[in-house]
Amino acid sequence: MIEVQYINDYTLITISDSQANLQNAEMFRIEVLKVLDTGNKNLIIDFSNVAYVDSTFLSVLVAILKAAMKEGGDVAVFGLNEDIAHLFSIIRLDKAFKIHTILPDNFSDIKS
Amino acid sequence: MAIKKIKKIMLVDDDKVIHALLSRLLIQKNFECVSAYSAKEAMEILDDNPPDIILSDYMMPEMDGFAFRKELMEKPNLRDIPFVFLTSVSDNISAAKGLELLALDYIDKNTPMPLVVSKLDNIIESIQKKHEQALFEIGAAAKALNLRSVPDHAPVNDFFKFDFIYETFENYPGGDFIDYISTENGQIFIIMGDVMGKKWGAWFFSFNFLSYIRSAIRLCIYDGELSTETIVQKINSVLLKDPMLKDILCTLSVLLLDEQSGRLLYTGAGDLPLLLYREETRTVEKITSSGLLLRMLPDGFYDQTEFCLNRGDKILAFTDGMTDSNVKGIAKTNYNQFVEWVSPCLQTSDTFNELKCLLVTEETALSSIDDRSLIYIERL
Repeated sequence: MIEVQYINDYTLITISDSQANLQNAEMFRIEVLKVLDTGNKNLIIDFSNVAYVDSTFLSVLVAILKAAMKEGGDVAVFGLNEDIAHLFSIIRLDKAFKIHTILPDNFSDIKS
Repeated sequence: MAIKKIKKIMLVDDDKVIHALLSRLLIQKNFECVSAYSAKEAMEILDDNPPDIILSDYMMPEMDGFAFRKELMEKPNLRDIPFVFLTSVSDNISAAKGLELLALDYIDKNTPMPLVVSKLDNIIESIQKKHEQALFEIGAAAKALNLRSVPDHAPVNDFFKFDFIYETFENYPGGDFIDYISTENGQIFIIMGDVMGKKWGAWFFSFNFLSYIRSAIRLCIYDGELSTETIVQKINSVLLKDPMLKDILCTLSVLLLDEQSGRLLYTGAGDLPLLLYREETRTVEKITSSGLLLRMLPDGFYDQTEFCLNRGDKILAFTDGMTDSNVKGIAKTNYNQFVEWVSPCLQTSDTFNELKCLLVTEETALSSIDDRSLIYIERL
């Protein structure tokens, strides 16, 4: 479901499935919360492989953001296709998630 | 709309002859057949393309049928797909082992292929009938308890035409809700929301959200507080304090319409932009809002847009079920395409019926991936 890479001060979580939906949302939540539990609180979620994301999966993404914020961390997203980037924009998720087209060297680089 | 979907069977077997024989027969009998030549290949396909039933060989290289079944059972999203073993290993011990792994049946490869197909068809039919029965019973219980997330019909009014479309997904109710609340001063609140999630889970929570929203609006009417922005902010603050709602989020569009003047206030929470058709210029514009989904953050950045509807002007509000679709197994979200699709209807004199002809068809029901709602308002 996910691949985890540790890059300087953040953790890159790549979703390997092309459909991010009800079927795999719970699994995604469990696996990412495990990463948070090990003290990795700054996350970038890589959607490069994802063609479609449904509302159930977006709810889980927000739950992960809230869990990270509780630990003093944050969640950004990367690699959104045109449709998903447009969806983030029209339902205002871009106000809560920093959206990136290039992976930064450090998480702090993207917060500025 | 009750839709008969083509049944999808996944066949997992390393024997190409079996694939050739069975898939030809399945296609002839109007099934869709997804082929995987190993358990590993099946696992790769399953995440994106879940079938109605899996028919798997037992003896396969690398991962055998039992190991494949065990791996499926560890995955919450795959473990409930009906599973049948198809194998030449027909001893009682293997059969018992398969049935212990909650396989529904154990079919001998020597069984004539047409009989295998009939058997699979019967299994799928019986599962679907159980689902339909469960749906019917829950629906009857909900009706008895007067639990409704959409009204029976839109209000009738001398100044405006109100109407709506609500379509369930595969006959399951979902998270969409619609309501109309009139004040004593000739104003009407029009509410549409979508609890994020699917099927029963979202449907269950839609009543919680709708109860809060109805109560908040009625309290605000009582207090003379008729700002949609303030109302939505209050709803969000209260909802965030309810631990029972866990991580559930919800979109919301609240419109407050003055029936005499046509003045309209609108506040949105993570909803899709509304469409406003202006009769004078015969143009369609998008009305956006800045608010975040309900229960996302304490400060939802809610705003309020005010405009006036003149004679012939029309408003459309809709949920993401309308803009998301599944075409040839590929799910997509495309708001702009939907806007292009429905805009010509807004320029006709019988817009709502034109919209129904366009949106309530067997084709749109088959390609839908969620329940679908649309609200229509026209100033007469």
